[in-house]
Amino acid sequence: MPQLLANAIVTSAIYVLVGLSFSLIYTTSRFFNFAHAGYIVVAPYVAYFLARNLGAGWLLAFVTGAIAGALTAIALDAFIFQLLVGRQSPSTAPLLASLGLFVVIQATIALVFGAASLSFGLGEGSIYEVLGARLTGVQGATIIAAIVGAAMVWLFLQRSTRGKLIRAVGCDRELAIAYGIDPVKVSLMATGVGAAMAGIVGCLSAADIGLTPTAGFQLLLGGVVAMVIGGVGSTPGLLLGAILVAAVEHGAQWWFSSAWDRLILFGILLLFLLFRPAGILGRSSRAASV
Amino acid sequence: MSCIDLSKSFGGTRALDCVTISFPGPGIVALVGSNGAGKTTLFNILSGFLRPDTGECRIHGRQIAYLAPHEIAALGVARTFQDVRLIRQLSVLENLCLAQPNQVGERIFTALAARGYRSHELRNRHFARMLLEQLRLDGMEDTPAGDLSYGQQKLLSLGCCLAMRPNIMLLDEPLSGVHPTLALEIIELVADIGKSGTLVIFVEHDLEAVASLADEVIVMHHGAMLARGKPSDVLRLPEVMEAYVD
Amino acid sequence: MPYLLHLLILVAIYATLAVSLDLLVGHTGMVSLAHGAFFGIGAYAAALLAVRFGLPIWTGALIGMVGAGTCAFLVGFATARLRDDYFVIATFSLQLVFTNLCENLLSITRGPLGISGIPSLAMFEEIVAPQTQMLVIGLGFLGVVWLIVYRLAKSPFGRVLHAIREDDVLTRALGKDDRYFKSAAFAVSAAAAAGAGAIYASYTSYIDPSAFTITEAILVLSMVIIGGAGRTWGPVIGAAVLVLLPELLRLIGLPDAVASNVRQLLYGVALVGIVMLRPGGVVGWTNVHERVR
Repeated sequence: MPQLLANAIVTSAIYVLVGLSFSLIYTTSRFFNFAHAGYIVVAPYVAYFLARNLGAGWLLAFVTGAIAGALTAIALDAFIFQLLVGRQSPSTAPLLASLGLFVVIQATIALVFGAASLSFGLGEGSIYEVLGARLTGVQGATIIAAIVGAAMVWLFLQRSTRGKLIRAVGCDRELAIAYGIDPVKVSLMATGVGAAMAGIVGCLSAADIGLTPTAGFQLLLGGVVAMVIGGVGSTPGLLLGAILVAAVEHGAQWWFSSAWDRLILFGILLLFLLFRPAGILGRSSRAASV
Repeated sequence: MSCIDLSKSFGGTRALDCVTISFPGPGIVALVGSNGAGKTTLFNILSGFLRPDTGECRIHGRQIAYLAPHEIAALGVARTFQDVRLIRQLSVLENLCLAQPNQVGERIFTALAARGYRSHELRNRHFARMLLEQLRLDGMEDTPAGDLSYGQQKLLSLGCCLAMRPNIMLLDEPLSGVHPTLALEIIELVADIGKSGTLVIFVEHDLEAVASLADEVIVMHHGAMLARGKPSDVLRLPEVMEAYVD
Repeated sequence: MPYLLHLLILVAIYATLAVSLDLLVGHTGMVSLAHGAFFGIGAYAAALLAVRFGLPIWTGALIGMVGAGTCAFLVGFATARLRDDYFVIATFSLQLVFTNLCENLLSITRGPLGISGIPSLAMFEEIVAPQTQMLVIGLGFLGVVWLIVYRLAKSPFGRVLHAIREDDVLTRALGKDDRYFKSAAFAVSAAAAAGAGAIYASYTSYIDPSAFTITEAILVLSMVIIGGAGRTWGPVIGAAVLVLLPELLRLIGLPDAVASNVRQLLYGVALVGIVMLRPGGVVGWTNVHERVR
């Protein structure tokens, strides 16, 4: 039981980080960016390459990987998404482009690294005994990262000037332009930070359970469901959502078989979408503003 | 149509403050007030796009405050929007056809067999063409609505309201940004509509137009009703002048 | 010749998927990532009912279609009033849930081992070769689905869908219940995909979860966009191009494992390119603004 709890906490930490990274970018861009699943996996693959082929230390490899992921994301945003969000294209255009980009990223990675699962060999490092459960060093780092990350993002968005710029552009792009804010620069900044964070969680997850080109999707789904259930735009909501999602996932695997965790999760998501689309702590979002 | 004690706040701003208004019968009523007075908010609530925080709205005694926009439209309420809304990819005629109520061909099973809706659709088109004539837009039948001039688009959106065969029309700034000649046409059209037994409530800033068109004027200020009466009386009241300059 | 027939059958099946998805994406403007799941629901329904209970494929297909359609209608109804992104998230989850169920409900679906021995729809195999029969069936079903989508698009029902695609606020103000229209379109598209799935299962006689994943869903979506969303022949052309593409790659000597990734790379790039430069797709290459209606 304590092990179950520990596993659930580690998973919820991962979803918190994914959700944070996604919502940072989503707050400005306001569309579902599938390439985010790509941002999550680019970093660990780059890190793997650096560590295995160039003999770099893991920490350096992870940081470089995250930076590489962030730069990729910024480039994509600058040359593709900003062009689509600004002009008169239908609202589905950035979404579709992001899907195409995700496919490109995934295919490229599969071509270079193959589709087999990669192991980082870090799971057997230091193992800690905490209240009757076993946690590896990586898992512990993930939990700490989640707590620190959540606090930092919350402070950033609520208190710092840059954070407010991000929220302003997301709220009303045209009004922000009228105030002299450059939405492109703000978006690039949000993308950089969000993608770096996505890269970090990708590395942490890869170090814990291994890495495949499609890992990004599952992580993205968990993070996004946590964000939707907890409430878009609310960091404490995201924490609640992530805990709920992880609890359901591990609980379902424990009591039923692992076939049911996604189904139960989806059922919960649907219930929320039906009755409380704003999520637990979110502000009510109108489907249309007239 | 009537509203009792309507209130609506957005964050810290109180857009409507315990507004009670009734519109007993057909005719043309103008809603004036400076920006932020609550006019568009009132329209949004009356047409179902917003829910009031408190209070209720009724049409012929029936509660409508929590109905969806399409349900309110089905009760005979048509509206235009401050920013002209049209389906720009569809032609002028198709916009007018789209707006008509109770179309058999819109039900999916009927839509599959053209025979099921052909005669209805022909009648639709006929009515739409008549409207086109009334709007003096005939000749632009197949033009995509997006290719029309701004004034023509306003005229078309008015036409779409008419196509809905409403009892109540809510027009949000039908004259703003329109060339004076076209504006006269719109005024004439609205006057005709008012005479034909429809209740027309319109928001306008052009006080001359208001004076010539409206049977009654309601002045709103900071979310509450300031004055109500015939244009000639109300528009000269000192409080109204003050509020307008404000 | 048999290989050519095989390709044509696949084109027919995928074209059916693309045409049905186009009703939702091209005509109603709603992006769905669940089409792999609906394809799979039809395939698994037909396969399981045939292999386990001896029901004819037709029956399984019908049950699969009704099931997929109902599921889609409910999900569509629940999400119709929400932002577009929420619909995408819901379909994305639906797709992953389906794959998850397929892979893990071992007692029913045998997981990654798949289901084999699915009977063919072909009859009287002495008279006409079974493969030819499957081609006829595939093309026939494609024809039916295409006709349904075409009819709907040209009707007043389709007119409302096009209105919703552009401005669903106005559509509601005009008195149309957008929930009904969106859910109905979603249901039709899902049912058609399920039908294609049953045909696919019957043709290949063996299915496993890998043919019905999110990757497939994205592939079908790409077929719609690259071919030309909302245009009469766009989805069919898109399906033909993307199904035949790996064959071309194979002709120039790429090994299979690499070919599948290269194909993904190519259509990913094509998708981005089309969205950015030629939103009308292959079919609408020259007239960027014109549409079916």
